[in-house]
Amino acid sequence: MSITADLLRGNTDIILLARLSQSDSYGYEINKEISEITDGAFEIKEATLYSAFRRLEKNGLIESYWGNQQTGARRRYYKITPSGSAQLQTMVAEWEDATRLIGKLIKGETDHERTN
Amino acid sequence: MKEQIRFYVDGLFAEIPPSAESEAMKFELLDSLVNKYDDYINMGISEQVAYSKVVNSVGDFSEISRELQRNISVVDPLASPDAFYARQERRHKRHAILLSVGIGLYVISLAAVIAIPSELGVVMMFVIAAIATVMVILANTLYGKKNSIKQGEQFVEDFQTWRQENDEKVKTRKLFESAFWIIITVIYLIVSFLTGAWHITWIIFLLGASLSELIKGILLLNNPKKSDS
Repeated sequence: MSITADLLRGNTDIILLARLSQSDSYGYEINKEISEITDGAFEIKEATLYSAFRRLEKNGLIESYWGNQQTGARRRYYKITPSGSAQLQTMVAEWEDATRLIGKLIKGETDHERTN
Repeated sequence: MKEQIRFYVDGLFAEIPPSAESEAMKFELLDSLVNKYDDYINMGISEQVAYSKVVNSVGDFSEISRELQRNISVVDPLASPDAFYARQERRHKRHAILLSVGIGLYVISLAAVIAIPSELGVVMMFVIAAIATVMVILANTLYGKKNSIKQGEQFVEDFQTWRQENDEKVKTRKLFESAFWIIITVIYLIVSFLTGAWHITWIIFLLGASLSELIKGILLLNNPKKSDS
């Protein structure tokens, strides 16, 4: 369980970027969805979330705007930028590489032991 | 309980000098927490438990707090509250001058038509009134609420307005005011029907206005309001 929590926390950026690449959203909604999708296993702390938002925005990967009465009251919405999308692709590719390699390493060791 | 949440957020931001950025984040965080709280309540969780869950959901705020304090001089040129409010004040002054001159011109336009009893007088009235209208519209467009402050700063205004409007005291006061005026109207109608002196009884409304101001004054003297600025 602790590896899961650490992994999730360490990958907040890619998780947020991936969510924003689907559609614009705001802090509360994103947090709630993450909770629901993971069946409550992962709940981001507000501080972590807003830290991540500020960081991503400072690096130009997302930008924020304020909603109006129509889109949902005075809320701060976040949207992914083109460079954010590009970065997301890179991160996803790296993620898939990493998980594949780690998977290999975990399985590889057991195979190796068996053949020896 | 929601008041508690607001106080909690105020506490988190206590060390941080107000800036457009910090007020915006405060607003955002508060909105988020209140929504979370409502969700818990709707799930049937008790107020106390919901509140502590919400507080626990914030996590370690110290890093954000440090960043906001550190970044202030670099990121936000209007960060100093003094600069911000000075700028607001100048805009409000210009707005007030433009608006009052405009309205004054309306009155002068009437004087024109009285002073010059001919078509010329009527034309002058319309011309002066037109100028007045232009000034009023300009005042509102240039310095009106929605325009004179950028989005981020709009947040400081909106947030403070939101805070004031949601103040329990303000809500109670508004309730009392409505009740007061309904009662005044009822008194006016009763007295007027009884005495038939409709040509005098309208004074009751003026008396009502004075009475209301008097009551407000007394209340202010007894409980000086906390200043929000």
